[in-house]
Amino acid sequence: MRFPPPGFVRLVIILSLCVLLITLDGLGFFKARYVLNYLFTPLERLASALHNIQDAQKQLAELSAESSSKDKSSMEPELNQENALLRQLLGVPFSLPFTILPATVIDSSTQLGKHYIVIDQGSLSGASPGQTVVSGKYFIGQIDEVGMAESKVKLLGANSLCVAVYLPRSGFPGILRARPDGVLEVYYLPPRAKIKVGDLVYTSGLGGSFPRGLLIGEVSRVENIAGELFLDCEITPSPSLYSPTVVGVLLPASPPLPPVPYIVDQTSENSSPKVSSPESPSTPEPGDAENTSAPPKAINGFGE
Amino acid sequence: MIKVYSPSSDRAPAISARAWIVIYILALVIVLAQLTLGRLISIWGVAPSFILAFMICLTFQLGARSVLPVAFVTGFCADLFTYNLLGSSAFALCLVVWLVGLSRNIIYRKNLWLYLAIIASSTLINALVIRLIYWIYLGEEIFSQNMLWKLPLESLLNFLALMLLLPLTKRILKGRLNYGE
Repeated sequence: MRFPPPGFVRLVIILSLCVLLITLDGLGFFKARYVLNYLFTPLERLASALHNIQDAQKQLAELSAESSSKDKSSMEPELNQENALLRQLLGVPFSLPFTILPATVIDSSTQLGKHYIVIDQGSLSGASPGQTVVSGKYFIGQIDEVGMAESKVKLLGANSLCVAVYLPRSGFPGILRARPDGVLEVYYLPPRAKIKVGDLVYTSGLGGSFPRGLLIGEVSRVENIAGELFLDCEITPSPSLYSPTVVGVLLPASPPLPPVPYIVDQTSENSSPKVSSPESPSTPEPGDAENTSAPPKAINGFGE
Repeated sequence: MIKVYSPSSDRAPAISARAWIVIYILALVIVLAQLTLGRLISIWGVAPSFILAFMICLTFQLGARSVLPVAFVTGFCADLFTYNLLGSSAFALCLVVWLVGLSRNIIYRKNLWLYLAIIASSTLINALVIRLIYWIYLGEEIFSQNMLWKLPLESLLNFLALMLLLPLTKRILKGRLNYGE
């Protein structure tokens, strides 16, 4: 067998080109691919619709089998548990100056990377990179890339996602990040922080990347290793992190009304031009409908 | 089994421009089929890779040297239509095509187990290369427990896809190749 084998030079050239493409894509070039992705969307939607019908039929059969096997009394512990969880969540000081954009997960294949999913909302719906993605009240990730009708979401287990967190029971803040094996860990918790297994972990809002008060999970293991500066603290995230089906994207609430521009009234020829503004309304005149009308209301209940 | 040219000559068959067009169109159709039908016919979340099977079919018939550009374009399209790292599938496909091209000598033996071995090793190499790229660029872990049962199942499905696509590509390329004999 001779060396190099036939096609070796061509292979090296093509592989070099591939490496270049991968590097450029990793650096965020190739925005045009989102347009191509958008063109492909109808075909993909059709295929996923067929897939969803299959799933829905399966789920329906499972649910009907489950409901026939369970009676009301057996549901009580689950309902009580859910009730307790909801009460617990209500106690959290949590306010959302956001509107939630519901989205369906359309791809979660490992080809994307283990901790990435694709949702069916894109820039046309207002999604943009960096926005928070939740599942119920749980924080599960952040939008990484946005197409016109789809977005790629980076989930909590991704190594490159860091979240500022706090543990309300002990009051200490930390940084949550996944280890290479995918286990979530809170870093920079001092040994004097009295962390216990079962403590809840929330986003702290520090740094401004994510809103404050979103539940992330609970402490599953905590260890104070002698000689170490910080605690070894592992977190169990929401169960929905591993198989999300429907998620919510937190869109910023509509901005307050822009200041109304000054309008120069040039209708009266003899007098000097009148300047009107909502802050300094001119004296109302009889029959002047514009001046007697109610002031503009704040939109979406914000800004009052 | 499929008839291939003598590898000792190292001479790829002459392919007409029309045949190239047919091959590229077929590759695009295979990519679209993979992205739409792949999810529908998956078993336990594992779908056959029509793209990989098709590339192996082509390599059996045309040789790695001729198929490398097709593999690159096909992988590039597959990446373009999804959110994969652009070039990752192309990289893995080209590597697989080249390795399959090297193993063409043994394809003369009309043994089904050889085909199975080639498709299984191709599936393994393809998966490992893609995971390696994701490990380098995104810090994802290379090995997972799922791989232990997913890869054999995927290899089996790919083998079935290969058996389906072999006669198809043979039929399409029939009469369009000139071996210069």
